[in-house]
Amino acid sequence: MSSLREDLSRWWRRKDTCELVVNNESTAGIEKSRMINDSEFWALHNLNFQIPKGEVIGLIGANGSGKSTLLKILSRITEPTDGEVKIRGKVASLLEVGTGFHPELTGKENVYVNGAILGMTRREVNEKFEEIVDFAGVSDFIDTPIKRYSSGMTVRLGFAVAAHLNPDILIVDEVLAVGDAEFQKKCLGKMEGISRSGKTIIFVSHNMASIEAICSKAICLSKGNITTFGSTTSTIKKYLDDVTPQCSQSIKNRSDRVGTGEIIVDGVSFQDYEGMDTSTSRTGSFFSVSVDFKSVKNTNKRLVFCLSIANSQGQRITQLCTHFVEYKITQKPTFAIQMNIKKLNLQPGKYLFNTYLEGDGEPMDWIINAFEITVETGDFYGTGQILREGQGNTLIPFSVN
Amino acid sequence: MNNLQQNKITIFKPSAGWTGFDFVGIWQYRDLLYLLVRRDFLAQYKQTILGPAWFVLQPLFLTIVFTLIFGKFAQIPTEGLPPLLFYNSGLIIWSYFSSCFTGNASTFTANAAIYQKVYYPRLINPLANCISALFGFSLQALFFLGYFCLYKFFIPTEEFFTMTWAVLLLPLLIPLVAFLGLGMGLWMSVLTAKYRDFNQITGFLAQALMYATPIIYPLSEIPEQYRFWAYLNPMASVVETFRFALLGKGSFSAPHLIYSGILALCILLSGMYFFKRTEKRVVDYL
Repeated sequence: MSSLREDLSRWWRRKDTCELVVNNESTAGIEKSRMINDSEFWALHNLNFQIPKGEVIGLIGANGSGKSTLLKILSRITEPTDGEVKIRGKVASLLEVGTGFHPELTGKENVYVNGAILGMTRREVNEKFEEIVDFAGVSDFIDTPIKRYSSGMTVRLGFAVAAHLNPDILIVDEVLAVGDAEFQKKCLGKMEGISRSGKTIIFVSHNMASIEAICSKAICLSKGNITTFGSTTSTIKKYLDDVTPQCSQSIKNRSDRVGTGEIIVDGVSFQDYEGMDTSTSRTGSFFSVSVDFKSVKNTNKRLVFCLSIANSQGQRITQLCTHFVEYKITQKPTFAIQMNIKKLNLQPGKYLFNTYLEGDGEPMDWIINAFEITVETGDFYGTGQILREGQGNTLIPFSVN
Repeated sequence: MNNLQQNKITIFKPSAGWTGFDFVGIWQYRDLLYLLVRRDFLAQYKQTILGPAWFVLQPLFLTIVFTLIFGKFAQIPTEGLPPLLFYNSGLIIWSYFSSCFTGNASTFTANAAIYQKVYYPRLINPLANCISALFGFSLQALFFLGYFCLYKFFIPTEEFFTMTWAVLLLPLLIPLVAFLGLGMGLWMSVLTAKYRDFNQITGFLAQALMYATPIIYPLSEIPEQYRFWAYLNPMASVVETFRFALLGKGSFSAPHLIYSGILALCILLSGMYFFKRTEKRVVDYL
């Protein structure tokens, strides 16, 4: 968002000296081929696809690949700059549930308003009211203001309204990430029901498991383009392969960095409890990440370094930042920090790491999917008991009295 | 939404220039319009003790403050009208204008969360605001009639006041106010969507306009040579006519009223045009 003053001064500068602003902060790190001019780029470009009636399509892609933009265009929220979308039938988008809920109004009043926002008439809501309330499981509280609802109840009610829209084409974005397991099951069931009745569904998720469960085909987007459009399994495989190769490239040579570049991450290595270099780790073991930095320019800025960890499905798990533990980074021509995890509490699998260095709150060097590690099965509790696959993603130390 | 619409092909593509107004879309979403008006009404005074009485109490308190400050202390003449009736009549028509104007100035920013998630004709929100403000205005007008009768029949007063034929103009006058407020509100919402600076300007503009409008003073108090400038404010002749219709004082000038009407239409149409242009891409920079 620009302010009037910024716009005016930019306009004045252009008029005055005809200079182009070459380094635009907001578009740094975007490939040249996607750029329109110095400050704009194509979020989506050269997209061409057809979805036949009744198909359930999964839409996947890394962050920033254009998924949300595509959904916004398909659901008419924003207009394409160029090209067109032809849609046969009525579209309803479930980009977020409970949109437009008013906290002061009762559940019942909100169901009506929300239904109307999503395109239902009052009569349609009337007909389905009982069903909606039953589905959400909030019949006892339907005359209570929404602000007294638990967040789970609000979400359930929101999804219930949306699920009873009865559109020809349903666009769903990550709703399944909310609610408890039972409700998620219910949602998946509802979506399968909708798809069986011959409706078309476009489903966006970072959760490959749920994409695999309900989609017959999938589209993989990368940098504003379709890379694959085919069977779900092969598209997911392609997507996961796409994400990983960047990591195998050594960090030194990465060019897709974002930030001022005053200090850059020069290398990363991993050590086990004996201080030996390793490329894998085990659940429950000591694990440490050493990050080497190189100063390109001397600064006096306050430095913070973060490692964020995502699982192989792209879901962010956690972030380790130096300021969480009040560690102060001091700049030298080359320097290194070591982040130690005493007892790795991640389930076996592949994990992707982003490195992020900031100075005075501004990104200096940010690499998405900087590297990957594989966590092998290990004995977290020291009892030989392990958390089996599918029983969770993380382990928590605990005791029983 | 209905059977007619099924299997209809909708095409979204970049629209250029004057794309026309989506009246069909608004008609399809008429239930939403109704529900939003109802929601505004219900939500405004939930968890209050006096509830909808505030619709009436608020202008009444303001009228009393005006009567004290401008009538008693500053001694601004009220054209020989009971001060309460004089200020109240000006205030209720003004507050209708003001809620159409300031209430819609933040349409895009206030509804950003919804606009980023769902499509419906965005004009529904400002329309709903104007309609629910009309309910407030009607309630206030009803109470004004109450005060009117109170003064007419129960409180002996030397001042003479009466309704005039111009009451017949009210069905035109009130839409004029709504159009003007809506039009200016749409303009402001478009500007605020792009530049938050206009958030500040809206409040200031509304206040400045209020002092430029003969609410706390009669237009006749303005010296002859400046009156032309006073009439440039489209609300000036509106308030004067409103007062003339209800109380028989003030002035009625057809040319000035027609000027206000034309100006209101121009502002409304241009506002709708820019609103429409903005709604297409606005989520990208909200």
